[in-house]
Amino acid sequence: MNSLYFEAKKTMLRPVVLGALLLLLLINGYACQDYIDRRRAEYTPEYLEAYSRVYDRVEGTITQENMRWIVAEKKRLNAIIRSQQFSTEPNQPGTYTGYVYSDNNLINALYDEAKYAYEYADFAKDTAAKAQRNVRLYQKKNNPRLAEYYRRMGQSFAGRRITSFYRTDGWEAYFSYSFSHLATVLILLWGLTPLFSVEKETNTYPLLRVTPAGLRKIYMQKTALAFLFCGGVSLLFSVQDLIQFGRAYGFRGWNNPLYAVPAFQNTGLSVSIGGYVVLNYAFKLLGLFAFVAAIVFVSAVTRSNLQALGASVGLLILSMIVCGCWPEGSFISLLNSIGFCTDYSMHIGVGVGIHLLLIGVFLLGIALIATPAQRGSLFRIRSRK
Amino acid sequence: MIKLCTWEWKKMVVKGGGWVLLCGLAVWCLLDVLAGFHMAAYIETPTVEKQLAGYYREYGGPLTGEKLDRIERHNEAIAQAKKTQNQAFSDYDNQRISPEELESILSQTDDWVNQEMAFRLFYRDVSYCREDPQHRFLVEKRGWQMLLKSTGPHFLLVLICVLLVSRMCSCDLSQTTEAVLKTADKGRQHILFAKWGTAAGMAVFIGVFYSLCLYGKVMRYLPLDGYSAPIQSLPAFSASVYPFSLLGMFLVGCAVRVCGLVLLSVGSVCLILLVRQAAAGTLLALSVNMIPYFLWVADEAYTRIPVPIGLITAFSYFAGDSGRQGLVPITPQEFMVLLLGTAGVTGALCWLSYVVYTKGTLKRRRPREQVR
Repeated sequence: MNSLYFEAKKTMLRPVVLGALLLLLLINGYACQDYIDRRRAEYTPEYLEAYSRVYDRVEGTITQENMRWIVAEKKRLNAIIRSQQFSTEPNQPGTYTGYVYSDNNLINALYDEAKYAYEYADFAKDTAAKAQRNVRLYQKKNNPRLAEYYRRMGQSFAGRRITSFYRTDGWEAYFSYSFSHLATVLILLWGLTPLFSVEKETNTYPLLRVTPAGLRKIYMQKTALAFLFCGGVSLLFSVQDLIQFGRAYGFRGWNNPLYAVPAFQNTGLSVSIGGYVVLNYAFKLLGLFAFVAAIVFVSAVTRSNLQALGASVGLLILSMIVCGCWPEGSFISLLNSIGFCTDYSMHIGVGVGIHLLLIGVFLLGIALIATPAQRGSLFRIRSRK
Repeated sequence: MIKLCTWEWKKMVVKGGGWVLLCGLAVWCLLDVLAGFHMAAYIETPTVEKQLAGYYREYGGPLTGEKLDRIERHNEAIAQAKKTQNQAFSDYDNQRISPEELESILSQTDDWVNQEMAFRLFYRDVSYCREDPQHRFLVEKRGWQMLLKSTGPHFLLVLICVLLVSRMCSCDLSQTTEAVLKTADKGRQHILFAKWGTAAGMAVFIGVFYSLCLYGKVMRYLPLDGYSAPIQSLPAFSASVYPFSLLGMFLVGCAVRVCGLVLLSVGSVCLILLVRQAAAGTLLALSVNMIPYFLWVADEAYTRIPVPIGLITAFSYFAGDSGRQGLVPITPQEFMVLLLGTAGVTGALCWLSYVVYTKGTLKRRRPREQVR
């Protein structure tokens, strides 16, 4: 355990890295708030307050009574707006937002969201029926691959329904926020690029080779530590995001299915929103692990910190370029899996498979680098004896 | 001093392996010129290109009343020919005219109708110029739009500049020759000045090289004329308050970009020397520039803070009120303040690194004098 701590102290627990982590947490906090404020900038505080109050009135299990109330309110306000017999003075009594026109907008937005939830079962049924038609069509055309694809799609959409109605704007905002990914990647670069290269740069590498513990153990410890550090940092930023967005929007409907969020209308995942929060983090972690494995490998083969950093940044740029033309092949697209999960036709499985393979390849590379070094270490220990 | 700069240049390019990065940049630029990345959206079919070139040759320049009349007549002739053809097809379908008559009508009107696509594109430009003929000339816009677009900074340039600079500094820092260099006769200030000068020279070289490649690429695929037309001739610069010509705007934009790269490179030298670790300093320099960009990319607010990344975007400062939601135009006064502010911040960094760098030398020299 002590050796793990010493290894960590050499690279990722340096004051400069911890300082950078703290600074980036502060910047991420600001960025979160800025992102939330921007999304809310088009509404007045009164509107947002009224929006919360109205949702408090109708949230929960979808009932006929609640739906009737929304439809009745919409009809009432639409009629007033059509008649043009309403005051434009502020703070009118009997209104939600202080203005009749603004009330109309509020109830229209609520109506659209409630309608989406209420009618989703019909949409899913319709999609499943279309998928079944396509199955028959492609069976006739003798295309078993597409027939199988649509069969699965039909199965996925069959029986879908939303039974509870909760506001989803906070979830959409949370899932689409991405500054924390940049912060995480920066900290990983700060903390992990010198992992092995620092030994060569400071000429302690020959000393490590002759330690009784052996270089392989040190390599393993360092690699494990890198993954641990990555998990810790990503968890820290993810929790920070969740807390800040949760505080701003008050997340509700954790048990609602993911497709209750309109952006995920066509998702292929049949999980709850809470489940997707975990799954999203798992995808992110997998992408980051692939990046960490690459950094560790690069650090093991380079001779100086600067070379390791240059090569790691080069890999990052390469990933960005790959992300533009083949998202499944880049870890960047896994950092925010919303791009994969909003549409049934996207293949998150391919991305996951590729990154597991990449992690395996890089770890194998590190093991291969460590093996001859281990032999050299043993050889020297023996001759010393 | 020149000799010192040459040594620093050698450290950066030859010893530090900077030639790999420079070759990479050259290959990328060459590929860009040869393959014409992102050009497909701008290029029309050869026939349309030829017709467009003819229109701009005939009507290009300031939009006068006489030209407008001729353009309108041309437009009417095309519309009339189209109408005649439609009528002929309708008559032919109803068997009111024979195939020979249809063919005769088509042969008379085909020349006009075939111009429809190109003329529609051209007429869109005419409509734009007609709104303000004093400041908007009829010029082929596609090439200039490509050349003067402001879609964020070019990260490849930023990365190459910072990495090259870090290679130059790491040669001293990693091999611990820094202490020896500082005890040289002209060591204290001259080495630092040479580093700044070399970094600035390299940034100018990269900036100019990139701009020339971009110009060459656009020249290769799209027509570039109307060099002296006012900048307001382009829709993206319609609200610009600057009295530049198109060529003038390109040169000024390139100068601002080069200026941004120079400040970035010199600032990176200072940060690396202050941190005294090449890798940490490099990452710090990259972070200082990247984080504001990603933080404020939505409303381009990163162009309003004194970091070089905004200056590297260059052309967005001159566009005026682009009408995009959430974007506040930057006035010439604000731009000057920003430019001076960025230079001031870099100057402060230079001063700080100068003090730290030279102070270290003084401290180490004292004991040697006592021994003597």
